[in-house]
Amino acid sequence: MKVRIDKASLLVPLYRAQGVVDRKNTTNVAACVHIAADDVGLSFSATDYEVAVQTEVAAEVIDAGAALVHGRALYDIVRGLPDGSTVLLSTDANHRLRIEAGRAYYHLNGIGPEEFPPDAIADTAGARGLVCDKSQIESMLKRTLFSVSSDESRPALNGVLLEIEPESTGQVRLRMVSTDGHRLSKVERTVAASDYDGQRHRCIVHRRGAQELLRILEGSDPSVRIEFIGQNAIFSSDKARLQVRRIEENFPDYARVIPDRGDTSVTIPTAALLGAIRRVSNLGTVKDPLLRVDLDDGRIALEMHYTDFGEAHEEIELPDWTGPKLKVGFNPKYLQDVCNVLGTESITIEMSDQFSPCLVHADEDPGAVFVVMPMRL
Amino acid sequence: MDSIDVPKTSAWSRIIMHADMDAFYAAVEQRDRPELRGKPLLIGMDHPRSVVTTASYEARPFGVGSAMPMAVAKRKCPQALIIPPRIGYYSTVSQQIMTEFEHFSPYVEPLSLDEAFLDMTGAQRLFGTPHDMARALKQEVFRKVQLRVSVGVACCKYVAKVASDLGKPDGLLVVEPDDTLDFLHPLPISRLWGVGKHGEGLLLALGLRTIGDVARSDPKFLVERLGSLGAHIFALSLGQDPRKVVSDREAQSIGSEDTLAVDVRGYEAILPHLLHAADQVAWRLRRAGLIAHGVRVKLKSASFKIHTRQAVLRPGSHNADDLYAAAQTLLHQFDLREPMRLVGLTAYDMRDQQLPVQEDLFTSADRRKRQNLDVAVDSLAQRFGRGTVKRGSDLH
Repeated sequence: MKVRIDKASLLVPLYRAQGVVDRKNTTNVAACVHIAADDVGLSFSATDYEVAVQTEVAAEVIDAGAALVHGRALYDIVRGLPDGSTVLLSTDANHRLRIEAGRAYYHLNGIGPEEFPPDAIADTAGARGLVCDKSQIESMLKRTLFSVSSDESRPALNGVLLEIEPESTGQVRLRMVSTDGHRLSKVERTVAASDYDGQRHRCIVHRRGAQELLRILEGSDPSVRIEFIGQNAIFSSDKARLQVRRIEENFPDYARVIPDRGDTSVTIPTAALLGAIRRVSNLGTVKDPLLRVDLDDGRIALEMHYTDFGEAHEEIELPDWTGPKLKVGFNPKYLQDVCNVLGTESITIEMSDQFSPCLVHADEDPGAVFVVMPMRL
Repeated sequence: MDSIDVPKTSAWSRIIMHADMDAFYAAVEQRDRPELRGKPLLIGMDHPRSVVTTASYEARPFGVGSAMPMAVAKRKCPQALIIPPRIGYYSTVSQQIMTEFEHFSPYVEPLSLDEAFLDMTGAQRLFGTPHDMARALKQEVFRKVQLRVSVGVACCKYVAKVASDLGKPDGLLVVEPDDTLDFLHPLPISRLWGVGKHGEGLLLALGLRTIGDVARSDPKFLVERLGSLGAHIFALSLGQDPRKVVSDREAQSIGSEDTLAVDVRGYEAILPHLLHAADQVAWRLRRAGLIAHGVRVKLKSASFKIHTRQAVLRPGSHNADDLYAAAQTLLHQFDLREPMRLVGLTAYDMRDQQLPVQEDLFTSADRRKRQNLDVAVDSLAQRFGRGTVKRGSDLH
């Protein structure tokens, strides 16, 4: 194999593979990126057997061929080259990859490219799904990914639930839900779609797959194709294909824990709330931080107590207020996360008592609801 | 050189007391039912596969003791009266006794319903010499519950425990620090803590009969032959036992384990013992105001191999059902083909129950119900005795 390619073009597929390749220093298939050169161009693939990603880029192919080398090492080398460099990649008989740019060259030991599983990314012939605007998928992912659980003992919660349903108008209803057992995010959007098979689809996409999807959506292609085949969901955009093995678990009945409304409802300017939480939670690190929230007529008081330092108290005036007074405790990070992902001018908090799930939403983003479970005081 | 008269208590680096109720269950029955006094009693179920939990002192000359199969005990002492145990009631009495102990020291470590260690270091000003302390404790316990307790006092837990055992019944034995070796060395090796029948055989095979024999042997030789047990018993033979008295409140973990009268084999046979342990541990957690975030199961096989498995408990709990459920899951990870002689459950990673707890979206409603049930059961237990409320599964 011998190809010539500019640094910027080479970096994109290597960057996309970083979330998939095993970062350990051993050179095995899961740690490697597979490079294939043919008449069409170059393709880069990586797999950890759960998530696989493949990206095609244009390049000047001098000799066709393939290589399988350590993905992290190659990325680090290419990233460090001077911007604007032209890179020459070539292999020798011992599976070594030579990377040449200007007067610098590197050799990376590799393994036989035939060891890369040929079916790492399934052939999507016969797959069913749809094509839609990627900005919708991107915004929904950003509103759900943060509340995915990393507790491996609860595998159903380790991913984002993706639901696709036909709408009567010929459009598609997309829904993403995630929860870590303490909080929950649900975002629904009705979007225009093409190539839609008209079917309902339901699939838990593992956290790492969802993170990888955000990476490939950073490209210039405005749309994304979503397909389901066998045990896998496949997302294609910008000459990249991402295959994620479904989590074969039952996602909990999320509708049961989302309250319709709360007796007490307050609307708070997001920036003021974020600033106040940041300041009162800034006095020290606590193992289980507790933000004491006191909702009283016309104001919200936020308070945190620190055994070593003292305490912090802030109040925000609230003109927009209904319902009885309430005292409740929260993990401050949970409220901050919701404010940050919503990014709206103001947020509305609704709840009925100090034990029940608290509902957070914003008028500006009607499809998104968040539930935060309080802490027992 | 002139000798200086130093008060004897000055040589006490620590004052550790072991208090052990005499034939506790039998004594409670005799206290409450005068017609049973002076008679040989076997506390236990009159059932071919049952074992004696306690034999009264009147029955002991016939060669019966706790953990003996009931059938054997009946043969040895046919005139004995067999009394079914009232564990819940004994727990209530135990609670009264432990409360009395806590008037003597803030450092009380209950080992079971009827025995505890107390750290009395620094209490001479309040109670006088170690001997005075022990006498006062015995008097106070008798005044409160009309039961006899044997007390051993020494510089460490191990010697205190041996002292209370040797003094029984109604014992009071103080081992002065300087007398520790003279006290220990004539005793048979079976008095070494951690040496059961199995270990005794090993030591006898090495020609070691008394604790003094162990103390005079080469520690390297003991470690070579016996591994960690060798190092352990060598230290004990010199009266060295650095273990502290740890109350439940400040303990790193709270556990309950039982060496079974009859070895058990298989998942189903182990479960009842785990449930019993879970109940005990959960009760002690709640009593200490703690919530555990980890559960460990310990099994000792008939060949004396110890196996443990542990798991994070999320969310934390001091509810017996939660501990038991976690233990059941852990039990699947053991190789259960061998018979087991000991079953234990330990709660660890404990935090104050006053600390805020993050509620769970999907399980919090259930948990709140069960916590309310615990509060109800605990308050019934406080008024009418533990065991007033029983599990449905215990009633067959």
